[in-house]
Amino acid sequence: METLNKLTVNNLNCNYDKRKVLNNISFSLGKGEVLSIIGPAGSGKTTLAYCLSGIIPNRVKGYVDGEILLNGENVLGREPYKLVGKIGLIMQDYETQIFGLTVEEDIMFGLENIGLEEKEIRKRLDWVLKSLGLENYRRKYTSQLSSGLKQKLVIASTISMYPEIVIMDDPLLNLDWSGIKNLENIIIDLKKQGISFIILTKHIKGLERAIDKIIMLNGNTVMHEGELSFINKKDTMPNNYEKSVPLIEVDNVWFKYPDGDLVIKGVSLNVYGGDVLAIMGPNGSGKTTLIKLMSGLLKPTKGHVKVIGRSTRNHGAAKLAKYVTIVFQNPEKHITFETVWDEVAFGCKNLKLPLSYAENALKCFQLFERIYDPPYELSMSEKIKLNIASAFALDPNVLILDEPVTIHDHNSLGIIKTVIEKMRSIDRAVIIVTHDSDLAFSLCNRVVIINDGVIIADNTPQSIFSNHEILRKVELKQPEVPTHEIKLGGAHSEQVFGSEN
Amino acid sequence: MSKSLDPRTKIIMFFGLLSLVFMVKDIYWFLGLIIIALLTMFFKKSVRIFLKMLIKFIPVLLIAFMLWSLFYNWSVFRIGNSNGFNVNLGMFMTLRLFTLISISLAFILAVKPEELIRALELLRFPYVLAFTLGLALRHITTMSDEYRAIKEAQISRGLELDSGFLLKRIRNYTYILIPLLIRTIETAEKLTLAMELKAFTLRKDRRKMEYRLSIIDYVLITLIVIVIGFSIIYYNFKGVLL
Repeated sequence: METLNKLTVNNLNCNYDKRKVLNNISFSLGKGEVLSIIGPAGSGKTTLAYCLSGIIPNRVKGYVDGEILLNGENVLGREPYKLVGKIGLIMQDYETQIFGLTVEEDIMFGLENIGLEEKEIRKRLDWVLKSLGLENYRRKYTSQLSSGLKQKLVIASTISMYPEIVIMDDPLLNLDWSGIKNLENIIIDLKKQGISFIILTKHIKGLERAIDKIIMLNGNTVMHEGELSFINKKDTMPNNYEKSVPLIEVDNVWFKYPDGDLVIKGVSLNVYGGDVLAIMGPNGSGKTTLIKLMSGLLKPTKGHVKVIGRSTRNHGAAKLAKYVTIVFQNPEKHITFETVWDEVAFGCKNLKLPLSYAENALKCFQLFERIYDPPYELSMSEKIKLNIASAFALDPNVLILDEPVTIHDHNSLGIIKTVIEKMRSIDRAVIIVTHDSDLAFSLCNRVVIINDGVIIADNTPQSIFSNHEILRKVELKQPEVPTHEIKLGGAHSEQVFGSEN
Repeated sequence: MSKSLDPRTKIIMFFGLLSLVFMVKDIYWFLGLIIIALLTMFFKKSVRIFLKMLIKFIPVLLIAFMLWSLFYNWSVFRIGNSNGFNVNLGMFMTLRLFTLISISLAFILAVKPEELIRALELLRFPYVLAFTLGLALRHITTMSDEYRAIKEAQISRGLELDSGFLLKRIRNYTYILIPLLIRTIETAEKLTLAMELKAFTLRKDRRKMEYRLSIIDYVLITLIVIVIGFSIIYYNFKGVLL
């Protein structure tokens, strides 16, 4: 067994954007090991990935010091292209890393760039296609691949450069349960071939078998090794809601996209005040379409959707935003204005609501002191708050959170809980679209499972998550067992947890 | 049709047919070309969307018909030996325009952007051009998804896009364009990083791709060349040879 560590990071510091992002980070990684670095949004995961791959300080300006020893050699600050073939980085927006027209060409693209011989290229190509099971797709156009296959392709073209270490930045984002399980198997396969992985993620649910070591990256300060307690806090909401007049009535709705895909097939669903409703189901099952129908962004092909008695057919989505508001997932995506205040007041101005609503929302989320600051200068968790606050300012009867994947840490979970409590206290409803059984189990009092455009279950979380048949059918995971029972795959797990005991 | 045509054949066929539209002057030729467009769509199973898009061009065709009929020799007010009306010419030009639109639509619907890039590469276009164009085309779809997502998010914040006066509407669209612009810049930055992670260089000695033309490709290219040749002879030496 190889005892020497491939990669050792000693006291890595990074200042970036006038903030201290990484503070004294140290870890080590051996051959064929999988290290998972867990941290909430904005905790510096991407910065760490950029430091390791040489993007900081060469391409993105930042101040770094410390040591990154790769096979005993300090590679800190080395140009990114010199690290190709040693460290491979799979970025969060991995789709931008696809350059080839076809799968085959995309893999060859990098290999040609480093100037390999034709024979060697063929050899590596066949090897990666085989080890990732992409043989049947080699002549397919990359733009026609599903997102899961695209991720596979990016992994393939990264490992074709024979890196010793592969860094994956948030690979679990937007993956459903079966997608996560696929990724787990790929990683297990590849680590057997001696490739080490660093997985930067918000949570490791579903990847436990592949991971040998865990490091927590906590905010911008200290790291704790092997502490998993806050991830799976259970705090079930009481489910004593009363059925009254529904806020949203979905009555036998069918929906077909203009390109002909029938996505929603006869869905009926009522949302009442006091509901904290989770909509769950695999990717492509119609979850997002359903919430867009509820908010009037899409109009049903057949059937009716009524929002507080108003049919969405006769009312524009912008008018209905007063009653139903969607908070979309990426909090940076639609920042429009120069100050926090304008950002939050935008909705109120549009709908001619009193500006005191915006003020209220800002106070609610402790953003009121920052109203003159540019939104881009906020920290990640503040951006999440801002995103929710600008929806909350419309004082909606139903607040819809679309895949709040960014909320796997204390802070943001706290924000969501605050929102839910506020909404429940005034008899409003919250709808959460999510893949995360734990989140649904701990926050919601009602779970709707949708599969292939049909609702297959609508009940309390307790009864849904104890129904194994349904969970198997839609490949959902059961809510998490208590944290100390999580089993890690590799030999090093004991050592890591040893430091805690 | 299990095997698709070579992209080169498609692009050559398109330009061949397009040049025919400008050369021929008989209704049978036009009918033939329209039938070819329809047949292509039939094989691609997209006749419905083809007809749907064609209908949108009716106003253009009507305007063309009126212009060519009424403004013959530039004047409707021309009184004298020659009149300013020519319905024959109007009908002919409308038919030509219709054929042109049909062929172009069929090409757009039948050829994927990737195939266009592939054809350019295979026809020995400079690599820098083909690569850049390919990136741009690929990101058009990403940008349009991005646009839709931002639009939906802004509507969710109560932004009205389909009401109000023209100026107000235009102003409202800026609330979509600003975030879109920022996203575009961010994507561009990511893209350069991604290129560097693949050690991208504009090397001149790239391997040439070996894609062979099949029999069908050769047959079709020969056919289009013969037809064009025939039409040239037919229209230029009508009185002499035939």
